[in-house]
Amino acid sequence: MLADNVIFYGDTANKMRFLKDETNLFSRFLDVYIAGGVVGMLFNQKGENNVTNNKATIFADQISTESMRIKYFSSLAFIIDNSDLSEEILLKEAFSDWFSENYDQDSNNNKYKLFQSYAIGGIDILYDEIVGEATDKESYLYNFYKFIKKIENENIDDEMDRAILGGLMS
Amino acid sequence: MLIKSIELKNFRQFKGKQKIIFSTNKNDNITVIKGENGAGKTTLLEAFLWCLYGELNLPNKEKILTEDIGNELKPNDTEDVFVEVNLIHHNKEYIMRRLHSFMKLNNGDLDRVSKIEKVLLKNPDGTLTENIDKEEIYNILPDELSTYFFFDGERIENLSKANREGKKDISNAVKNILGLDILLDAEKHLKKIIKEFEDEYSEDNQEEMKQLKNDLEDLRSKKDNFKQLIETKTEEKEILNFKIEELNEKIKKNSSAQKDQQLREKYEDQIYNNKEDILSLKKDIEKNNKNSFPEFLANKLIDLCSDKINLSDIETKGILGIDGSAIDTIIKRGECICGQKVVEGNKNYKNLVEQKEFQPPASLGTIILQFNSQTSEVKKTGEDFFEDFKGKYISIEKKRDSIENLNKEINNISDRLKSAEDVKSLEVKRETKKDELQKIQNEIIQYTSELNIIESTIDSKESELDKLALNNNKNNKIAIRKAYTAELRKKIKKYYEKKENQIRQDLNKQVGKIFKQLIETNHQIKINDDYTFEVVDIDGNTSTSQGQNVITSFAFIGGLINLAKDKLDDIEVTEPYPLVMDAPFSKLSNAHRENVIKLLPEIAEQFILFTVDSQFDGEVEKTVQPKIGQQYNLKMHMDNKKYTEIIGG
Repeated sequence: MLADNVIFYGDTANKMRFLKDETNLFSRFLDVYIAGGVVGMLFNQKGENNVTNNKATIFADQISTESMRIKYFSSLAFIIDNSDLSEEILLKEAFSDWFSENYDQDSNNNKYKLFQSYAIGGIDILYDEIVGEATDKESYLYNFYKFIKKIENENIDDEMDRAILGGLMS
Repeated sequence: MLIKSIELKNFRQFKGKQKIIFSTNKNDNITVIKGENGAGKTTLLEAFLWCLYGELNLPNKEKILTEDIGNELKPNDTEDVFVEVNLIHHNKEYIMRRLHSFMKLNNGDLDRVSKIEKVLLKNPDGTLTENIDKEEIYNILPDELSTYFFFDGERIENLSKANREGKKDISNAVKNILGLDILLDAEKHLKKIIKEFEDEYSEDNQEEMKQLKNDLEDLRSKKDNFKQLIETKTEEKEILNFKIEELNEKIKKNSSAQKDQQLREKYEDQIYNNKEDILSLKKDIEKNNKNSFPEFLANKLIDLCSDKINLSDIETKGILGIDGSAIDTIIKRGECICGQKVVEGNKNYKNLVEQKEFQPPASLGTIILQFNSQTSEVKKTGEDFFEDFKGKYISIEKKRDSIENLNKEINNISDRLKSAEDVKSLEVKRETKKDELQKIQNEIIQYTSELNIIESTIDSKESELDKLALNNNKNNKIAIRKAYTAELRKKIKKYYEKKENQIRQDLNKQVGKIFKQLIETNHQIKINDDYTFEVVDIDGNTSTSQGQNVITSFAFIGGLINLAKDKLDDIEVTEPYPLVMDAPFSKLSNAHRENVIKLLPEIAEQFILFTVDSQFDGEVEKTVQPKIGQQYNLKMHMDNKKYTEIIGG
């Protein structure tokens, strides 16, 4: 997964483009992708990648510059998302590519696919929170400030906290 | 090369044969030619260039025969116009003469019947050798180098203001000295080649590639359009800035408004600085978002995760960084890294098999430790994000408030200035121009951001196309060639920019040196990448008051000449050279005037100065007097026939 291009389509691609080009908050698709992924995890929002002609591509060589971070966040996503698995299986699945190159392709893809689906959900949230109805850069910055202030004031101690936070967001 | 004399016949307003002999003495090397506006100072300056190179940069350039001479001619009568310049080069005297003959036609029009250009060499015995190759003159002072020695009034003014023409002037001088046009051509050529390689790609993914190519073509033409648009708007902006500057000056002159105007300039500076600060804070925020926003978010989730991975349960007997397959390899080859034998059943073998149980994949202890240490990193990175962002955000807000307040103050000043009777209309004009300027600036910002987006889209489409093309083996070779070409183009561009930068630095040094000699204060002059310049004080703050006076012109003229002498092979170090300029001495303060006079001999060996009579009288004349070798007046005859008479010598 880390060796492939990551592609977002349609509405998500549009939102990524807007966040990158118009808000002065993110300089690359890659930054929107990583931030989006963790936002999705935080608010428990996922989305589906429906293939269309309109796409935003993050090339593999760019991905490789942030591979450690993406691997870490994807593992985190897997652990959070699979609380019902036994500890041993959970850890093996989450960390399979941390120690060996001969890992199981499919289970790994699961982890990164999961992170991408969180990113799709997260990018929706980022767009709504930062852009929403606003039309100028000053408002985007103000909205971003409000958004992260809200997060700063949240404490997620358990699954229920996260579920409620996600529920309030959607 | 020194100029010994110029003789004109019927050239524009110089009726009949008239001659000026210039001082070629080493000590009193200044020739002053005084004349009121319209007397023909510019025409005289242009007469040199017309004679030497056949170029005339004046309005109605076809009309070179004196007007009333032309009017008085009868059908089939002919009359000559000529300009003859005597030059001394390598101690030899050359005479360059350009002569055009005109004949009156029956319909009253004038027909140019012959054009003669002739170079003569004066021998030591006074005889003349004719038919010298006119190339000799070009060798003595090539056309493009004449720009370093002839400065008309307009050009001097442009140089001091670094407006569009002034910037072009300096940038051309630098390009001329660089002499690397061939590299610019190569860069353009390679750009074309890259496009051609793209067209050569065989298309397996026909539809997709075709689409990409079309997209790229559209984007590239869009890019060119935007570039053009930005250039036009930038020019418009500069013209407007210049007009506003003129209005500012006019408003400033009104003494009651002067203080307000100065205050307003101060506020405008402060607004500019605040805006710059905001831009840089925004860049910081973008950087922070890239480096630590995800970690800030993840921090909120880490507690959730620690519930699921109980660290205290984890075996810590593992060795970081190796996994089970490494142990299998050691067992298989029968020897440990330390050299001890590993045989099935022996102690070493047993130890290894035991250790394997603590290593991944059998045990995840070491992995968990790694995960754990990265979690601490994430915590550390994410911790400061919010406070850091908040600080920057508040700082931006404060600066915005301050801009708003300053704008209010500026509006108050505007209102006050409007109520002052004589500045009222100026003030209204200024405000209209300011609005126009704001509009153009916004347009430039918008176009630039669109251009940036287009450029980044082009980049990503190009790499997409390359990747698609590589699906077909046939394209491998083309892709490699394309990559080489692109790299070569990059290298050439970089090299050119490096060289250009060097020459600009050299010019900066030369201009700076002269500026320092001319100015009494501690200010310095700094030429920017776009050929604008700033005058900065000792703390690096831009000073507007020092920026636009004649001192900067002198510094630039001197700097350009010194640089040309330094760098250009065609200009000989041991040979003296003239400087012909329309010198605006009146704008110099007394202290500066003396410095200028002291400095002139360091710039050139011969001076031909044109000046308005009234500006040159008094103090200026007194200071320059000891160095004046020849002096002339251009007397305008305004009776029924208008012409100019050269008096003096």
